[in-house]
Amino acid sequence: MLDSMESLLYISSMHNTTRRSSESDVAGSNWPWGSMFWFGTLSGGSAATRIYHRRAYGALGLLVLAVAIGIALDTFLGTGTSRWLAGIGTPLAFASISWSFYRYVHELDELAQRLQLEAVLIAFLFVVLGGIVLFSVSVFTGWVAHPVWVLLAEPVRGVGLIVAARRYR
Amino acid sequence: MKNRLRLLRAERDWSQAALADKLGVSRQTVNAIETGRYDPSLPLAFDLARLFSLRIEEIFEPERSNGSGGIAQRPDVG
Repeated sequence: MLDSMESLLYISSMHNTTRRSSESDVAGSNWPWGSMFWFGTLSGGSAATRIYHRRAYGALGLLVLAVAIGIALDTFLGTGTSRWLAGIGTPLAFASISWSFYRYVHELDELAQRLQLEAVLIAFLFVVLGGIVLFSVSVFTGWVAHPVWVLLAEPVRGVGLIVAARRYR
Repeated sequence: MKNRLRLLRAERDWSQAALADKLGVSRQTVNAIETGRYDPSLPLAFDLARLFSLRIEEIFEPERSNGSGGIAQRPDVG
C-alpha cells in the first residue's frame, strides 16, 4: 500500500513542476539554426567550435593564399605553379579540415554527437546516392560530372543537422 | 523514460544552463532530457544521480505503457 502511494506521489511529482527556476525553462531548446545551416556546428561560442572554425578557416585561407601566390608566379614567370599548388593544396587542406571536424565531434557532448552522427549519415547517403545517379547519367548521356560536386555534402550535412535537431526541440 | 529532472533542478533553483555547466553538457541536452525527448547515457545518468545525491532510479523511471512490463523491444543490432 505504502509502496503504491509512494510511486503515485513519485509519478505525480514528475508532472508537477510548478516552481520554475530559470529564464531558459521557457526558451525550449533554442537551437542555433543559423550556425547549424551555415557552419554545420551546434554552437558558435563553444571552445571546440572555435578551435574547429579556426583550423578549418586557417586551412582554407592557406589554400587560397597558396593558389594566389601560384597565380602571381604564373603571371610574372609563366611557371604553371598555381596548378601544382591547387592540385596538391586542395586535398591537403580538405584532409586537414576533415581531421579537425573529426576531433571537433569527439569534443561534443553526447546529444550533439548523436546529431552530428545523424547529419553525417544523411550527407553520406546523399553522396552515395548522388554518385550512383551521376554514374547512371554518364552511362546514358556520356556527361561526366566534375568530382568537386561532392562538396555539396557539406551543406547537406547542415540541413541534416537541422532535420535531426528538430526531434529534440 | 520519465524523469524528475526539472523538479529536482527547480528545487535547487538552478537554471538549465547552470545544470548543464555542472554536468559538462549543453543546455539543449538538459532540455531534451527534461522533456523526455532524449535518454541520457549511463555515465551521464550517474553524473546526474551523483549531483543530486540520489539513485538513478529516483530520477528516472521507465515508461510502462506498452504492456510489456516496462521492457522495451530490443532493437536490431545487425
